[in-house]
Amino acid sequence: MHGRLRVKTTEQQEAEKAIERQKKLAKYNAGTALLFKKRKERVYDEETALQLSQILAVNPDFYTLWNYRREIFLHWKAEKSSEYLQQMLKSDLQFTEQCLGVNPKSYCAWHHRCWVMENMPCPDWEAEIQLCDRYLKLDGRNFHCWDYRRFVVAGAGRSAADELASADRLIETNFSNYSSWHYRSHLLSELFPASGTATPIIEDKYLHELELVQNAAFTDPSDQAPWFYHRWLLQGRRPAASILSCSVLRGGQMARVAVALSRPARPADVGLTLETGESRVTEWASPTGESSGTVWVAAAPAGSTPTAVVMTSSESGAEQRLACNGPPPALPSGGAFGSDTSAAAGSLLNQELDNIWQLGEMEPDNKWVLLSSVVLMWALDPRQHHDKILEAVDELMKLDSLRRGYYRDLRSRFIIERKLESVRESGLIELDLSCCHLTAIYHTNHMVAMTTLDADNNQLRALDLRHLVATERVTAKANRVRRVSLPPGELCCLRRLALNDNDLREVSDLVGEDGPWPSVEELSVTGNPVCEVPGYEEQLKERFPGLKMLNGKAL
Amino acid sequence: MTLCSCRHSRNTHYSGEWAVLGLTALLNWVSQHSDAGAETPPPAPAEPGTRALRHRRLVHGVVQRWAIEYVDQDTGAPAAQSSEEEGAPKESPETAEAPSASVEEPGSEDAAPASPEEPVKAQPAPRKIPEWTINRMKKLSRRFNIDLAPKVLYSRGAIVLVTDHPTTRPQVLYSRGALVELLISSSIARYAEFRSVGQLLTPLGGRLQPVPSSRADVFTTKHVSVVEKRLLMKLLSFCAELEKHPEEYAGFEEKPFSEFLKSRRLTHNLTHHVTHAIAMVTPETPTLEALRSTQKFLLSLGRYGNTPFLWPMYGSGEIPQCFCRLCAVFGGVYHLSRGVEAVTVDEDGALTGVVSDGQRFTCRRLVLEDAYRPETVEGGDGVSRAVVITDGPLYPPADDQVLLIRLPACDDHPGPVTVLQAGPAASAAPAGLYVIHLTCAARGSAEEDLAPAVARLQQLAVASQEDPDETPAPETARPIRVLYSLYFSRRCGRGANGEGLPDNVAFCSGPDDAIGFDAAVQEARDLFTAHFPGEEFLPRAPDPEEIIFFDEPNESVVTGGAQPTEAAPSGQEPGPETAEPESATGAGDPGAAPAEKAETGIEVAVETKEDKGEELKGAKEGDEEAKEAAVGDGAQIETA
Repeated sequence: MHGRLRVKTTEQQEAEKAIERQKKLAKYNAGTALLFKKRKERVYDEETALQLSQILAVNPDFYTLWNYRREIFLHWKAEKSSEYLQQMLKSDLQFTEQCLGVNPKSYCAWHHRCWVMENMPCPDWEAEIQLCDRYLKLDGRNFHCWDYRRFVVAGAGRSAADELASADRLIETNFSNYSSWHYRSHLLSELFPASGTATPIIEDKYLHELELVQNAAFTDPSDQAPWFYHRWLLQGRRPAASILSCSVLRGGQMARVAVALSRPARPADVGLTLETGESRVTEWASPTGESSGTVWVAAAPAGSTPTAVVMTSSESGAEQRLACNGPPPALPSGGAFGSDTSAAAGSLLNQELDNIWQLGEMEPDNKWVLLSSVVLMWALDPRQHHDKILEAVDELMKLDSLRRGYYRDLRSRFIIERKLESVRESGLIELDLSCCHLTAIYHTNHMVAMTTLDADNNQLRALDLRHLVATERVTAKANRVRRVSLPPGELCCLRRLALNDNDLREVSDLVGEDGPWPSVEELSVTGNPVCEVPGYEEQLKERFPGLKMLNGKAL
Repeated sequence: MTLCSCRHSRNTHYSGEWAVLGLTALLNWVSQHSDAGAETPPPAPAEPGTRALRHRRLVHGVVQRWAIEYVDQDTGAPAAQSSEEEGAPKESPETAEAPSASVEEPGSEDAAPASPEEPVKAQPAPRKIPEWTINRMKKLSRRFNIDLAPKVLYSRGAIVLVTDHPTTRPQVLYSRGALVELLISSSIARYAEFRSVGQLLTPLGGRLQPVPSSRADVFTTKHVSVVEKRLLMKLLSFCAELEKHPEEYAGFEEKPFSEFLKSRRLTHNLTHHVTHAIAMVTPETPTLEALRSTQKFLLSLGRYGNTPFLWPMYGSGEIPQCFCRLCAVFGGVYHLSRGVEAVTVDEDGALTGVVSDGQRFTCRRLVLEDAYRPETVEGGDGVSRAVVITDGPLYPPADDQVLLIRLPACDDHPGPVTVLQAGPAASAAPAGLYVIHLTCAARGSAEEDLAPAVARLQQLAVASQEDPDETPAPETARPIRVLYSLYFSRRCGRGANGEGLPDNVAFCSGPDDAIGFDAAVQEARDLFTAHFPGEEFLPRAPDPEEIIFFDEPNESVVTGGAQPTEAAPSGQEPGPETAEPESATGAGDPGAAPAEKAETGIEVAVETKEDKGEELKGAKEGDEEAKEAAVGDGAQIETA
C-alpha cells in the first residue's frame, strides 16, 4: 500500500546532513584521539587494529595511523606464529583494497600494500598482478598502480613477454596511454635488444612497432601519446663518445690541450689521457665545472710537448688516438650530427617517411605529423632535405604558435649543424653564424677549435662561451643577449669580445661571478643598458685587467 | 489539484507490449495471441453517458516452432506435447525443420533454411551436455527474460539546436538518446542495471565482422588499411560536430548518402560499415538524415563502453517497470488483468471516468494504448518480430556479450533487419542458450519477413567461426542450432484520436521498429506537455532520505508494515502547512508521465477532490478509493 509522500525541503535536508556530519566528526575525532593515546602506550592488539581500520577506511591518507598499523604487525611478527601473521596480513590486503575503493590514488594505501606484500610469509604475487589488471582497466593512467605493478611483477618474477601482452591490451583499449607506451619501450628493449644496429630493438619487432604507431597515428593524428613513442622509436642509438678535436691552447707557461668529445663523459670513465714525450697526464679540468662534460683541458708538465690524446670507448673498448694540432678525425658515416643509421634501418625509415608524408597529405595542418617528418628527414639526410626541413619548421611555428620558441631553437640547431659541417669540410677555423635568426647556440663542443665566432644579428638571449677555450675573437652584436658566460679566467684565450647592441644590464650579466679574465684586450658593449650604470667602466677594467680597448677607445 | 493515477491493464503482466517475459509466460502469451477468440467482443450498445471502447488485437500472425522434442527428463522418453501450446503451429516432435516444411502450410518453406546443417545436427551425441528438450527449457523458464519489444538505449542524450539563419533563435530540431538522460535526471536509473552492448557486428565478405566504430576499434582492426582508418576517423570526427561544419556536406543534403560517401573517397568496406552499421540507414537515405543518424551514434560512444548502446539487465522490458515502480511510490495503483469497456462523459461530452469490468472509476484524463484507437486509423506501418533461441552465440569471439547486428537488405529480405543477441550474461537465457531478437518494418507476415534473415544469420555465424583470424581451431566451428523460434507481427495504430471521444483521452503508440526508445520518450514528453503545460517533465525523484512518511493513524493501519518506519518521529509533522500544492502535484506526476509509456494498459488519472484547499485530505480519499477498488477486484497492487 502506498503512503502519502512528501519531499523534505532543502533546509530540512541541510540541517539533517549537518547533524549527521557533526556526529561523524565527533566520532572520528574521538577515535583518532584514542588511537594516538594507545600508540603512546604501545598497545598492539587486534582491537586496536580494528579501530585503526575503521578510521582509515574513512580517510585512507592518514599516514600516522598506517604507521601505527605497521607497528602492530611488526609486533605480531615478533610475537605470534607465522600462520597468524599470514592470516592477518592477508586480511589487510582486503582492507587496503577497500581503502583504494575510497581513493584509488591513495599514496598511503598503495604503500601499505607494498609493505604487506614484503612482510607476508607467503605472498600471492599472481593475485596482485590481477589486481593491477583490474585497476588499470578502470584507469589506465593510475601511476600508483603502475608503480605497484612494477613492484609485484618483480616479486612474481613475471616474464617480460607476459607483461608486454598486458601492455598490448591496455593500448588496444585506449592508445592515449603514455604509461603503457612507456612501459612497452622498456619491455621491448629488455626482450628484443638489438646489437650493432641503429634500431633500439631487433628489426622485425621494430617494424611491428612502427606499424602499431602508424595505426594509432592514422586513427587519431592529434593524440600525442603515440607520437611520443614514435619519437622513441626514431631516436635510434646514439653513437658512443669520441674525440672531436684536440687543440693546444695559446698562452700560459705550461702547454695546455683542450679536447672536445662528441658526448658528455667523465675523463676517468673513458680513460682520457694526454700523452707527452715522457709522461701521461690524466688530470682534466672542465671549463663548465661539471663532472661529466664534453670539453676537457689538461696541462702538460713544464717543458714537455703534448703529442696526442688517447681515449677508450666505454662501449666498444676501442682506443681512439688523436695527434695534437693534427687534422680532425674522420667523421662517422652519418656526419657529425646525423644518427648512425645503418642501411637497413635507413630503408625502414625512408618507408616510414613516406607514410608520414602520406598522412601529411591527408592532415596538412597537423603539427605532430609535420614534426615527425622533420625528425625523420633530419635523421635520414639533413642535407638532402635541407629546404624541406626549414619549410616544415616555419610551418610549425605558424601552426603551433604556443611553442614557437621550441621550433626556433630547433631551427637554430639545424642551421648550426649545417654551418659546422661546412666549416669542417672546408677546414676553416672561423665560424660565421651571423644573420641566421638564431635563438640559441648549440654544439659548442664542436666549436672548441674555432679561433673566431661571429654571431652578429641574431636573436640570441644568452651566450654561453664556456666551451670556447681556444677562441680568440667573439662577436655577437645586435642580439638580445642578457647574459654572457665565459670560461674560467685561467682557461680563457679570448682577446676580442664585441657585444654591442644587446640587453646586458649589469656588469655581472656580462661576466658572471668568475674572473678575472686577463686575456681579453678589446671589449665593446655600447648599446647595452649597462652603459647607463655609473662606474661600469671601472668595474669592467677590474674584471678584465688586460683590457686595452673599451668600446672602441684605447685605455 | 491532486492526482492519483491508476492503471488498468488487460495483461497479467506489467508493461503490456513492452514486456519482458519468462519462457512459460511467453508461451502463454503466444497461445493467448494466436487464439482467435481472444478478440474483444464488439462494443456493447453504449449506455447513456458512456462511449464504448473497443480493444483491437494488434499482434497477429503468431507462429512458433520448436526444433527440439518434449522429453520427460525423468523417463528420457519423448512425451506428448503439452496441450498449452496448441494455439500455435508446432513442429512435429521427431525431427526438426525438414519434415515440418512438407507438413506446414505455404509460407513455411522459410522455416527450413537450417537444413544444410542437418547432418551436423544429426550427431551431437558426443557432447556431454544433456540435450536441450522443451521440458528442460521450460523448467528453466524463469532464467529466460525474453523481450516482446527489445530496444537498446543510446548512452548519451543530446538536443540539437539548429539555426537556419543568424537572426532566428535556435530551435530544437531533434533530440536523441533522451532516455538515458531522463533515467539519470529523474533518478529512475537506480531501479535498473545495465550492460553495454558488447559488440557491433556487420555482415561483410560473407562473415560477421566487428564494426570499427570507436577510436579503439579503428585502431585495432586489421580489416581496414591505415589510409582507410584516417578517412573513416575524419568522417566520424566531422559527424560528431555536424552542426559546426555544414560546408562539409553542402550540396549533398538531399542526395543519397552513398553519393556523399563516394565524394569522401570512402572505400567499399568503409561505405558498408558507415552506412549499415554506424548510421544504420540505407545507401538511398538522404545525406543529411544519414549524417544525423551517424552523429547520434557517435555522441553516445565511449560513455559506458565500447559501443554507444546500453542493454538493461533482464531485458529492455525492465525500463517500463522502473517507471511503474516510481509511479507506485507516489501512489500509482495498478490493476492487472482488466481492460476498459467504455469511457463516461458528462452532458457536455467531457470525460468523467471509465468503465472497467462494469465498475466505474472517475478520472479527468485518460491515456490509452493504441489498441483502443478506433479502427479508422488502421493501416499504419507495422513491425515484424522474431524471437529465436539458439544453443550457441552468433559470434563466438565476442563470448557472451550482447550483440547488435544490422542486417542490410538483401535479396531474401528486402529491408534492413535489426538483430540483437542477449545471452546468459545479460540474464536473457540460462547458461548455454542465447536469445536472438529480430525486428524489421513489416512487409509481409513476420515469418516471411524474418525467416530468411534467421537463415542468413546461421550461415554467417558458421562462416565467422571459420575465419582463420578469429578462431583458428576449425573443429570448434559448429553451426548454431535454432531450438525455438517465434514470429509475430504487430500493427502500429498511429494516427489521430478517434472522433467521438472526449478531448482528454489520449493514445500512445506501441513499440516501433527503431532500435531505441526515442520515439516513445518523445511521445511521452509531448503527451505530458499537452496535458500539463508548464509542468516539468519527469523532475528528479527524491532520494529515500528526502521523503517524509506520514504516520497518520488510519493510514498506518492500512499500510501495515509495508512502509519504511525508520524516519525519525520528530521530523514528521503531518500538518497541511508543510504540503505545498506544487509538491503534491509534482509528486503525482513524475510517475504518471513515463508510465504512459511504461505500461500499455490504460492509465486513468483519478481525480478525487477538486477542492484545492484540501490536497491532503483529497489525496487520502483518492488513495482509499483506489484501494477499495483494487481490493474489490482482487487485482494485484504493487508497492514500491
